[in-house]
Amino acid sequence: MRRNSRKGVSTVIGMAIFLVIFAMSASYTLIWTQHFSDYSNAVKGQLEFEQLRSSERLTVEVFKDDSGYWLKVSNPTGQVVVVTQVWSNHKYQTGEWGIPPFGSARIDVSMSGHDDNFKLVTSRGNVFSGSYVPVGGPRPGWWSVEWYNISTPLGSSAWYNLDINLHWYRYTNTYLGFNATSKLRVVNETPRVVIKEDLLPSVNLTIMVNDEIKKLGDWKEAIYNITNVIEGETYEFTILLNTTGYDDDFDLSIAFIGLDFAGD
Amino acid sequence: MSKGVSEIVATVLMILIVSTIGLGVFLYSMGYFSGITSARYEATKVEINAILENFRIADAEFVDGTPSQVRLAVYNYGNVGIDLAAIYVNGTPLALQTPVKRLEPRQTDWFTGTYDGPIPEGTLYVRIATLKGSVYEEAFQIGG
Repeated sequence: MRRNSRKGVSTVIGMAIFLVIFAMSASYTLIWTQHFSDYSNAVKGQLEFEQLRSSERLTVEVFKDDSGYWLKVSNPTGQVVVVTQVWSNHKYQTGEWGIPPFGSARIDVSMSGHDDNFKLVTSRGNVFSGSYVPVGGPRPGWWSVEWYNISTPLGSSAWYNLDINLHWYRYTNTYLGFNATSKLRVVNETPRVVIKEDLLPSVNLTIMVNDEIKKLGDWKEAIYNITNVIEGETYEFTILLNTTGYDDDFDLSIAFIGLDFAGD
Repeated sequence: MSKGVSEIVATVLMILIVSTIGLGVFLYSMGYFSGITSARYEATKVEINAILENFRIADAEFVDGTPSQVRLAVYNYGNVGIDLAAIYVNGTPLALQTPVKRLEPRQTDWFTGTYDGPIPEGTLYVRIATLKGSVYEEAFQIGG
């Protein structure tokens, strides 16, 4: 009897010791596992952040007008990109400019002492840059326009645009047409003329480049390549309109692509 | 009779000795595991913070003089503060104007080191490091 009683006690003590050891081990294992879990979560979060960061893209165009420099920032990706800093010449301005997915935003440069080179820093730490290039931006210019065969100038500031839209009132117009010239620089490998509306054959429209006729008559709504011009070179472009023999109103809608007003 | 007493005494003594040793081992292991757990916790915290350190050089200015200066605008774009502690140019550590520069999340500030002699022309590999050991490196083209 006595022996059996002792055996029972030692079993209980052994069990108690085992439980203490087990509880200790389990609790510490739990704590250590929690630490590892925290670490794994941090790594996972960082990987997700890096994935978003690496997919950021921005296109920066720099423009200058009367109010100063401004940046057109385009976002070709499907996620919002937030610009937080604009750097130029070791100076910076801060703000929060959200660039929507597949959209663009304007950032006005307000810092002083900047130069023509700008760097944009995003909230995710990416840097995108852009420079003001005088030959690449929209350049102010004009067409010098004269009435057809009369040489009466309409004024050198008649048209400021390379996208020309006008309505010709034949009945009230004592003139037969016009002759518009401007110095244009080729900024694209294949410059084009876009006719946005058909012209009747009796409306005689001619495009000349350095006095060489590039296209005359029979204009349809289409895009026409301007051939034999060199990218970067400047040419004198002439738009010659002659309405002799045509007795009705019409719309002339013509645009030049891949060309820009020359500097001087 | 005396044989019976000594058996009881021996048993009591054995129980006392075993209990004392057991208690000692228990207390020691408690301290040991507690220490390890605490150290592991601190180490994990440091590792997590090191992982979460995100910073970069937003701008750099190299000023020739005696001594020359390397001025780095460092942007902390992460969610934890960083302590900048070193600048290396082409592997050479620079003397720092501020030994440790603290940058809070989203903060940008200049971190300047002095360079003996003129700034060399060519490609400069500039590396900055934090107290936790995170590094960022960028190459800059100087001159021609």
